[in-house]
Amino acid sequence: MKRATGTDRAFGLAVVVLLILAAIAALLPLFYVLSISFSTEKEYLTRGFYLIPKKFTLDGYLYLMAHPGFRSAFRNAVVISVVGTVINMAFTTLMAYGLSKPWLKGRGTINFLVVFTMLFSGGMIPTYLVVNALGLIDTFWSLWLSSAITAFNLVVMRGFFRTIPIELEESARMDGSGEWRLLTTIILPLSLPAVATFTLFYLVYNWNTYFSAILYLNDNRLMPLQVFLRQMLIEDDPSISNASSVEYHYTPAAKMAAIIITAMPLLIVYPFLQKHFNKGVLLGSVKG
Amino acid sequence: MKKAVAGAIALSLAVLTMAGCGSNGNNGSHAGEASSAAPTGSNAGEASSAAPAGSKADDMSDKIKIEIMAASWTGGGWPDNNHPIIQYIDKKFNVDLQIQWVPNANFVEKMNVVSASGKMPDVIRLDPTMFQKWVGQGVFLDLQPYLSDYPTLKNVATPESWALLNPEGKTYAIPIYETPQNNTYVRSDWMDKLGIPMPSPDEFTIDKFYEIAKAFTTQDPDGDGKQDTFGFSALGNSLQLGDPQLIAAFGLANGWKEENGKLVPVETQAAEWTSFLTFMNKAYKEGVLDKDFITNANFNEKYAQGKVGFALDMHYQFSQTTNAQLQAVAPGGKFVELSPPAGANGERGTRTPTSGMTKVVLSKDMDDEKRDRILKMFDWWVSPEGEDIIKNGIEGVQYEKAADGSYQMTDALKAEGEGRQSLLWNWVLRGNTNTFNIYKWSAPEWAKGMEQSIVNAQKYPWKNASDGYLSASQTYTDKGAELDEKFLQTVLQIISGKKPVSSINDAIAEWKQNGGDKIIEEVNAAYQAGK
Amino acid sequence: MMTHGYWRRALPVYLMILPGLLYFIVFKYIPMFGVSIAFMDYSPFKGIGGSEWIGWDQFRRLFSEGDFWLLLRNTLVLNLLDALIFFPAPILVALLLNEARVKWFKGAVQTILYAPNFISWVVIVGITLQLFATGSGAINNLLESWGYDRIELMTDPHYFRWVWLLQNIWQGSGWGAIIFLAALSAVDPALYEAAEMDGASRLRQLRHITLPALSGAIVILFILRMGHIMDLGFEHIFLLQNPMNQNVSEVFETFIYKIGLNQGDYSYSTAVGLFKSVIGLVMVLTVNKLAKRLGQEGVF
Repeated sequence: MKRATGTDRAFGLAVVVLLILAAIAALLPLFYVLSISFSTEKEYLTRGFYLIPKKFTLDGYLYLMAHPGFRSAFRNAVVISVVGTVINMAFTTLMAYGLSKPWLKGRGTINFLVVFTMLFSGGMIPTYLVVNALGLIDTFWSLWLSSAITAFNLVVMRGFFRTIPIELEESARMDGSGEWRLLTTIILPLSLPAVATFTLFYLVYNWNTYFSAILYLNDNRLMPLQVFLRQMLIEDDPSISNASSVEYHYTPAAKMAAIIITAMPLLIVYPFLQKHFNKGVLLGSVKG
Repeated sequence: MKKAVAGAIALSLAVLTMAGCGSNGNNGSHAGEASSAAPTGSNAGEASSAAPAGSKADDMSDKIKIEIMAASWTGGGWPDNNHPIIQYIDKKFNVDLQIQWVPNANFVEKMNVVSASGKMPDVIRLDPTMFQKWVGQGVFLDLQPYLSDYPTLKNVATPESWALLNPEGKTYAIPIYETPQNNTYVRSDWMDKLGIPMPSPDEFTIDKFYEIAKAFTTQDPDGDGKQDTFGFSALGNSLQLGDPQLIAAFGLANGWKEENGKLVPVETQAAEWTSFLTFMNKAYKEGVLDKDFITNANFNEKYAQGKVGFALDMHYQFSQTTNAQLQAVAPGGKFVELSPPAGANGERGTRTPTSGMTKVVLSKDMDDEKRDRILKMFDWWVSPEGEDIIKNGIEGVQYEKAADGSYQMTDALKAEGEGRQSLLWNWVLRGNTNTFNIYKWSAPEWAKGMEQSIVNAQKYPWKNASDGYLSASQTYTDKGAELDEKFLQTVLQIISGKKPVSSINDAIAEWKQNGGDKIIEEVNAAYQAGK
Repeated sequence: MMTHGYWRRALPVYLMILPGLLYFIVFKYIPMFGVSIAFMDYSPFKGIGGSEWIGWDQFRRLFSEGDFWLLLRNTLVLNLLDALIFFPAPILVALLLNEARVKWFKGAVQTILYAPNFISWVVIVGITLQLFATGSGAINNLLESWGYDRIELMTDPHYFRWVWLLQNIWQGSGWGAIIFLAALSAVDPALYEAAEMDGASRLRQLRHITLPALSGAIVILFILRMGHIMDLGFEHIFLLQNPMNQNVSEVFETFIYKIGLNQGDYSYSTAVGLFKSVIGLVMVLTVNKLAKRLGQEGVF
């Protein structure tokens, strides 16, 4: 049956070689970050670029684990991300599904209204005034509601729904199922790759919340991880911070450990979502 | 499609008009606030003239919530408002202190949105730019009528500092005390190794500086057999190049200087620039200046790596941290203090901030009781008793008394980091003492060195003559940063040998022509008016 | 009768759209009155109702900036490079991953390429400096020891655009590939089987099955990308910028930031934002029309 031709074999080899090269290019700097997180400050200062620390230390990680601010920031980031992503997916899926119906009147106008918001925004102050008027300041709801939908994700997800054959809808309607049933029992299971993709997109977006947290939250107990991380990574400009006079020094290991721990949850989640968009779910079920 | 565009435009227009009405309404209520605020203001004035406001019946029986907003720096603020120091203040003054720490990088944005929402915190610490931008808006409380009731607070600054940046006769803020504290530091172990004697302040001229720096570059002071060390470093991100002491030695101004009754900007000092740039270009060519200086954002790592001999912008506390880092890399390595190098005409100077440029303001929208409570709290805050609590923390929590009567940090504070207990002192409001980095448990010898280094730095003031006048120039506000960046580009190109030294004259001409002349004119007009 | 049938069918769908629509109205359209700030001398204390209207002054100021054309050129050049070179990179990664036949290998490479997305620009630029700083960079030290000249990668203006682009590719290609991989998951494996039976080479399958399956996603993403033809991430450029490369690296975002340092002039930055948005809108409308004319689905 299968006959691997010479060109095919060369093609397959080229693919593997290119991917390995790309992976190495991606890994080297990452590995450097990882190895600094296990290094002593002395080694970091004297050795330049290196991949394996000579003296291995866990100090950076231990420091963070003991830091009360870090722990609470981490907890907040988890709550913001999990609840936020559920809200994002509910809003986005419903609207994208609705807008994917080619027969729906007003669809074009609404689509345009959505894309329009990608280009024009009222800006920071007016948005803040709305969030403030709704009484959301200093609650996580300010973050969840003010970014309930990312227009980009909505537009692309709608595109995914449109690839589902219209015959499905027709046949389901014959069986007497309503839109809700159609969406939950047929469309969503068929769209798992899209659902997984946008869950990931929203998860990462929420995990990276920084600026809106600074604007909408006042209580330090609510601040998410990125706010903590930034204040570790960014060193003050000596000429303007002179007035502040507390020179605080984080070791490079602690800084890099913070980066690793911040990225870790998203790296752990990835393979679980990845498996959904790596296999074609769609077709088998359409046939069946 | 066309319909959709039309629809979108119609909708946004509709929203716009709606919002217009809405904000008109908003405007109305603002006006209302203003008019209702006016009588309170005059009331308060009367009250203070009739009877001392502080004593006026505030027995502190009501618990008052006080919101304070301040910028946080590397390390960030405290994770919550249950810090023992805050609890202490809460109890002492029957208040509920809510501190909002805003990362310094985003402070302007936060300030913009909270002020737009009309919900300003009660107390805000502002940098000079923001203070000047908003002082004219009538949103800060004029403290003038009340200060006499709070003598400790009043004495925290000189009358000049209280008046700085304020309109005539008004005092819209508590000024923050600042002092010169930077000195020149040199690797003493390298000096010993190369057999160079420590120069006395009189001997330490700019030529001597160069001679030593060059020896550091060529004579392998770290003894690794490689020519990988250099004399000094610099930063590429501002006109002072992170080396204010070098700039000062060549007679260049700290921004502006006074000459024959007129203010002159550093950007026009052609002769001084020419000799400074000749010096720097030579240093770059000979490897005496760090080849990476353009991309340096700060010096911390450079010093700790043990490849540089001079540190020209370092203060004592910082040198201690750096020495500790350095000694892990180069055993015996140590930065010790020198005076700034003296220029050909004896000019000397070190970074000199002006006290009172940074301000702590109170919001106008507060009742008399809250105002009195806050001022009372601050009056105590800057007293010796307040300083003890606010800077050092609480005994038994941040530090302990040992059997021999000396103090020690607790393990909890050690883990958190020394200084982390002093955020209210150093990031919100502090008194006019030079001991802001010295704590109860600091080693006496270290503390003495720290205070002495500030005394030493104060010997070489290098003041910016334009404080308070620069903001009067609209051209500077609009274009100053952009013009300076272009100027800096030429400076860097000259130092790194991409352009001849003479091209600084073109940069000066360009600076003047594109707006500099106007800035000079506007600043001097304000200067004459203010004299 | 006909309309009655339509509404019975459409009402549930409108109800599904409603929460999202409300979101856009409340959090996107109501704040849009804020663009009026561009026509004002806005002060946050006076509010939008109380600030003075100054008409087109902010725009006049923008167009008369001495550097306006420089900013426009730099912005467009960087965006063009980004659209022509960075934009296809994730597609290429997705195609390569799609061709990888060994499952664990594909999964592992995919995760590795995704990881750089979580390294912030501060760190990426920091590492680049450690490798390429003129005097102390590890690679420059190597070059010198082999007898080559040091590369002034971070200060020579000729390199700026390429460093920026390469860092974008390093950080973003694996992440960007996800959406294309998701699109590819919709391809019927039977199509490949049939093609193989017909003796089509893998390259042929790539051209006739895989690429067409991606075209819809590519077009949508490209149209949306064109809407941001005037936008560049501030932080990345700002970190790479120094006075030496300013002639090629200064863009609207960094320019506004520096002006803001002096005054926080909110009206001016709103005006600049509005100017960028209008150009973005024109681009989206044009490209969308073009795509439709070529028989592709547009975004609206």
